[in-house]
Amino acid sequence: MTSVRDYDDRAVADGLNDALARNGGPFDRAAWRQLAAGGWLHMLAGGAATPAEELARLISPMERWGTALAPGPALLTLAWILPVLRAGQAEQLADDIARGVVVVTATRELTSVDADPEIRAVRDARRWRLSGQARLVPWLPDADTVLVLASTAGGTRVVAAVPAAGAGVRSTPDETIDPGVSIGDLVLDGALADLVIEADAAVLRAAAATYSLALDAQAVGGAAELIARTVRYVTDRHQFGQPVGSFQAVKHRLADMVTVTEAARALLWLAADRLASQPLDPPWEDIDASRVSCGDAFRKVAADAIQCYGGMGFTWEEGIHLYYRRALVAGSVLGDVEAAARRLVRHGTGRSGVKT
Amino acid sequence: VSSTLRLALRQFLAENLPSEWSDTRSVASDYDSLALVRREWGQRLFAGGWAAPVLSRAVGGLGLVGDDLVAYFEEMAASGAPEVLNSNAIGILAPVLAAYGSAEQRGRVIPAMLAHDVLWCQGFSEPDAGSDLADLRTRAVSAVGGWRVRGQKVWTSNALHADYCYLLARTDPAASAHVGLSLMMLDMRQPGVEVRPLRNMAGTDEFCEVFLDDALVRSEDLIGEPGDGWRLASFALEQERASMLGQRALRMSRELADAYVLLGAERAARVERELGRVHAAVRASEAAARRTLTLIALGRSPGVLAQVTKLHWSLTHQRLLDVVADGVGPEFFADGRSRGWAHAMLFSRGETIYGGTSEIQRNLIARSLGLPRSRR
Repeated sequence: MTSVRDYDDRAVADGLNDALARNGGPFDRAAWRQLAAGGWLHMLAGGAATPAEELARLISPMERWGTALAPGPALLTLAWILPVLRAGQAEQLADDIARGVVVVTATRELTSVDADPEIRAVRDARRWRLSGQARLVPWLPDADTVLVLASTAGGTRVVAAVPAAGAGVRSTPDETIDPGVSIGDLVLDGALADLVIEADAAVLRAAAATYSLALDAQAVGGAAELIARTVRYVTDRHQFGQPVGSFQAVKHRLADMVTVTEAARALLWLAADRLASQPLDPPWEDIDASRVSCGDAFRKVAADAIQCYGGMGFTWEEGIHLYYRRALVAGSVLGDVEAAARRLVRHGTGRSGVKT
Repeated sequence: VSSTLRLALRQFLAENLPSEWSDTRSVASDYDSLALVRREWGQRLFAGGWAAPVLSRAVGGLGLVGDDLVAYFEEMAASGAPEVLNSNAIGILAPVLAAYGSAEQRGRVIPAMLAHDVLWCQGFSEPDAGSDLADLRTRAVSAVGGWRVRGQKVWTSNALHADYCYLLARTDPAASAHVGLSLMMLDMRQPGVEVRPLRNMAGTDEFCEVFLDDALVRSEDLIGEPGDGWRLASFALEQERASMLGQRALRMSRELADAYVLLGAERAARVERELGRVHAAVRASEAAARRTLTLIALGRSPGVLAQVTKLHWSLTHQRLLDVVADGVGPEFFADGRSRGWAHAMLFSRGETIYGGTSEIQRNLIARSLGLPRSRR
């Protein structure tokens, strides 16, 4: 455990770089299919290893999803949807997703560790009908199918797949400030489920943990990219006859950006290692602390990068704002930093931070 | 291997570390008793053979590397054991002597240092040479039997208790700043050495001013050659500083757990937002420290992670004490009830200053990014 691993699989990182070369805009189906064709949506589904073990092995190249700002529900798909569907033996749907044919999203109740379902599943002859609602479902407007968490009359929990547009499904599309993350509210009124799988608590916990760390990798990768770009910018940009990067006020801001990023990265790697060794019993204190550290680091670094770029940082063309937008949305809608921070305090005061 | 070492160390700690020593907060406000504890702890570690984890076996250390060394750091941090009184000299001077000292110096100095029979302090900083250490002014002039040293040292931890001081002095005023310095060992118990305790803002006399008025350094107490001082002092300094500060960061998790006990659920809820952030930051500091220590243990340079760890730990520790104070409320500052916490808060203001100020750390981090040099 204590030996230092570099986690740097160059080939994977370079491949991801190429696959994500042009990105940052709204969801694009053609680009999505290409990404799928490259195998990137099931990059954690390798061989005999669990997704958590793969994540630890690939934690450094996983940062490339943040360098280029992961498109659509890519991280959700590879870290949560595919592992859960495969564990539930929904192979057909999983294969279609991995090939990029079907785009699937999941409600935030499903991917968080401490939410209760607001959707009920009722058996109707041989089909399941779903009623209830889910708010702020990421990528709902872009998805063909949405996975929801539902409770049955018998008190069990199930993961159900419903078509995003169909009888009994009302979807209210919206945008977020991040062009790469659309969002929508979902109301189900007796909608027929395409597929229902039993929600194995251990599988859901492992998937939630893996997705949380995948978001962390995106955050650290985004922050590292911004630091590199900012260093280049303040080295080239001259004022008062010298590079603005020679001024201590600028240097110290960059040093603080590095500090929060590197500390967050160290914790992410530690959490990934520990999760890999116990995927069915995730180390939630580490995972939540990593979520808070990485999410906050990304947000701070993005804000500071804009400041270091001066007026240019405030322009649309320079594109720094895309990272700031992603940091804000990924730290709330996708992997809620505030919720993770509250769980840490619950953990610290001896009340369980996470429902088990 | 490391689990064997871990178990042996755990057993030693269970048998030799009194539980009241594990909570240095409770004695931190009384520096003299803390120094006695740290000395006796050093003696006990020496007796058990655990005094010097990094130092090579040839000179009486454990010579630990890799997983074993990390295990040592982790177990020590988890136990809450205080730092031994000679920790600075064991970490910095002993390896310099092992590598560059004479056989006579090694045999005379190192065992007594490890045993805590002879107590040491470090004379580097001066009133006009702090962050810019190479600008130091203390002069050593060749004289009968050795060198006569004249000047003033400051921030000298433990000088009141120390028998010896290892110091940097300028032996060649004509040479450039780094080249004219020499590293020497000074007997503190002689005329010409005056120690004045310097009361710190926490109200204890941990560090001192040392006035040197033609104090004698014997010929046999020069380390290496005249003019080698800067090179020799740097040899173990950066690594040891990174290691020592990393170990302090590892201890912070224990303090976080104590903080939750002090706060209790209700008061923790009052400061939930900041406390959750601090909790995460403590874990991040610890992870950075663990990585720094692991790289050191593997004989690799921690690079910028050393500065990142120091900066992150010192700032996070201050935030931790702030949020505990805010959560506890006025009672926090009632001495009888806070049991050292308020004093720890005062002490923590020094942590962003000693061992390289936050500003120096940021300069070094910026340098590692390749940012253009400035005048400072």
